[in-house]
Amino acid sequence: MDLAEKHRLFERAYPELFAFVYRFVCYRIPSRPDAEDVVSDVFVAAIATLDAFDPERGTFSQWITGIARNKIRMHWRQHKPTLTLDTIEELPEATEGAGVQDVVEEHLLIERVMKEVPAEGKVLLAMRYIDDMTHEDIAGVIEKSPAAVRQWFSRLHRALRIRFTETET
Amino acid sequence: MFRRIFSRVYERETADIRINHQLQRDLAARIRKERPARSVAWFKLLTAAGTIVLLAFLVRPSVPAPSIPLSFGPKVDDWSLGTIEQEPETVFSSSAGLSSGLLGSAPTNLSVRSMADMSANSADLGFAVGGAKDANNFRLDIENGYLPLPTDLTYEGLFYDYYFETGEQTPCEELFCPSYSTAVTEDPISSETEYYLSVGLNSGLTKDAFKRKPLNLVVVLDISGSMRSPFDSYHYDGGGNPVYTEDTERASAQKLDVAKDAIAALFGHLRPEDRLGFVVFDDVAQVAKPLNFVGETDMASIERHVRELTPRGGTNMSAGMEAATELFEELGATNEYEQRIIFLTDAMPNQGDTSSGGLFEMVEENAQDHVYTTFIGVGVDFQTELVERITKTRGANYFAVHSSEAFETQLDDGFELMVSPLVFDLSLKLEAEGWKIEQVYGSPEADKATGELIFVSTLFPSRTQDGETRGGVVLLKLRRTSESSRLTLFAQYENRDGKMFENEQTVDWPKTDGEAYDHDGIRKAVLLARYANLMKNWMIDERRSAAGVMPIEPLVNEDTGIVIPPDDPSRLFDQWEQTSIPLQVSESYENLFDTFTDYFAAEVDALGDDDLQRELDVLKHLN
Repeated sequence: MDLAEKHRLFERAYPELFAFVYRFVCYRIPSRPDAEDVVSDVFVAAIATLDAFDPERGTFSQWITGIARNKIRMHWRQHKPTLTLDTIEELPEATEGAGVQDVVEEHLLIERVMKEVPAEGKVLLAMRYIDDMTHEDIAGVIEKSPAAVRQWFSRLHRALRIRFTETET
Repeated sequence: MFRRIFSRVYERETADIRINHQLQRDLAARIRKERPARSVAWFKLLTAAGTIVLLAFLVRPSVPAPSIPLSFGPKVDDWSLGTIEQEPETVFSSSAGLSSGLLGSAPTNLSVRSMADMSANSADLGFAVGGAKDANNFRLDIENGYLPLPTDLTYEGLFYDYYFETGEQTPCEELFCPSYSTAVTEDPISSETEYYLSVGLNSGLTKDAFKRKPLNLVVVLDISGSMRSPFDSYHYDGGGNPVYTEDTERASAQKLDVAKDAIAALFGHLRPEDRLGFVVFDDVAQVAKPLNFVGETDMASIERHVRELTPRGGTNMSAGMEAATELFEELGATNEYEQRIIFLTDAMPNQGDTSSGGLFEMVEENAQDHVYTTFIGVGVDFQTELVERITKTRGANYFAVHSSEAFETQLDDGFELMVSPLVFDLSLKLEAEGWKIEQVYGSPEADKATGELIFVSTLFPSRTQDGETRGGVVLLKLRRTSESSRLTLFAQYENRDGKMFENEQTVDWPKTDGEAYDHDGIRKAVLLARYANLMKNWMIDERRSAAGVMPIEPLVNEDTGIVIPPDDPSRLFDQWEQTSIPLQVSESYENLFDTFTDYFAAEVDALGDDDLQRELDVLKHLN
């Protein structure tokens, strides 16, 4: 496939790619103007390196996800995200009243609590559970010690379990 | 379980993120423009398409090679500094080989987040000259009770501390657009009429379009014994031993500590695709870290190693420069990267080639290979006289660290700009019967000017604010010998790729009987030029007096006015280890300062620029 053909296919896939990349980046960079800068960088880099895209090795979506991950990491390193590791204390207490009775499945309860994690905590969750980053990788990005990151996740898990136990009893 | 549950939350929440359709359209337009069939002749297209897109490419002109660093290898602590062996014959030893990393080329840095902004031509960058980028050492010396060196105060450094209206009449739509403005004004001491012409350094660049190229950077750190001194003392006042104030609690940090803070601040501005090398020098130089990608470097460990460095030995600046140059030679030529040496020192060499000519040649030769130099001066005894001489070359600039915090702010504000020279070899020819250029203010190459021609080796992009550009003018003092009122100005310059551009404009001198300024920008420039002239005369005369050369008879007086200070009257040898001279103001200068302070205060009121208060404070301190 020559460059012109790749370009044509890329243009055709662009609306879906844009929506995917835009949401992918915005979830990981809470500041919307910063996130949009990174989205632009992703597409500029993609176009500039389109010739290197090999359709036999993956889809446009997989390929551009790699570029996006790289740009996001560059952004984090450059801007030193101020992700604190204190957010667990801010999690809501075990839901009370009618809400508690309505929640009959542990997954739903945990999901409900997870949704209330602040945006910066979600960035950590996305790094760990969506991007498959290790604690060490995350620590490198947010400039905390791996032990602190490990502790954050451990506290999150514990908090969720406590809430589940409280609801069960 | 958590992974599965969070994945569900993630899916739902990402789906709820609303798309910015304007950005989607902007990028789509950009992608269409990059279709291969059109991109083959993109230079021609750019020319035809005109200004804004062209400017964006001028900032980042080269098409990136395919192997963009999409990911980086493991981070490595590649600090390789051992004991520096004291071998007089070995001027420089490289302890580590060069690694080019896993990646061979750079990604594009042309952001197109807002094509709409670019096409709207929101010209929010201008230009400023190279050379000195502040007047910090001048103020730092006075603040600490020392008589500054005349070179501590340069016109271009002083101008860069202020924002100027440039007299731009129509929005600039090219890389560089000079604008010309006039002033007729009376010298505040002699009341003689003077004529000035300002060259406004405008650009069509926008902040959105500008992003620096990736950087190959070699930091060269002076760890010589003089870096052990407190930041606010002269090392050689104690015969080479640190001088502390009586109140030891008040004693400031070591110069080396301040330099380390500055380096840590610098590191914060590097990107993964930049390369960083590190050289230290005392009697000899040693490569402490080879040039490797930041993305593959354990920067926390590197900073820790830097923090562990201790001062020792003599000062061999030429060895430091040679070691840095060698790192670039091993890397080979590249047009994809900015290449810069950042030299942190108090600039008092006493070993190796200590001649300003020799050091100048090294900086000059590197510049010819597109490796440019920045000096960051540390300490109240920073030898600006040497650095001012050796940075009169293409792409060079220098800063004086006033405090760690202030320097960090300065970098936050302008690191991208200070490493990105964009216009080179600007020459400006004045064709006007009956007019001559008498003096140039605000360019490090002012001494190269003739009656008809001025020369500026480098323009760096510079911030604008409320329509004013930081350091955005060069001021010419003209001599008028006829009633002719028409001046033709012919400017010629190169962009970073060596392409020549020309610009010709005609200026009609206004008919006026009294004082007249085209705008506040030229008025401010005239005020600061007069201030610097007076201060330089004072520093030269007081130094001569302190050296017992002659009693003080100021050249500045009611007959001559604020004359242009004489060239470098005291320096005869390239010896840079300086002791302090206590701050002193002779009676004749007290009177001059008194008169000048009234004039300065009235101008501050007229201009309404509160920043000028700091110069007024200096004047009052000296009164």
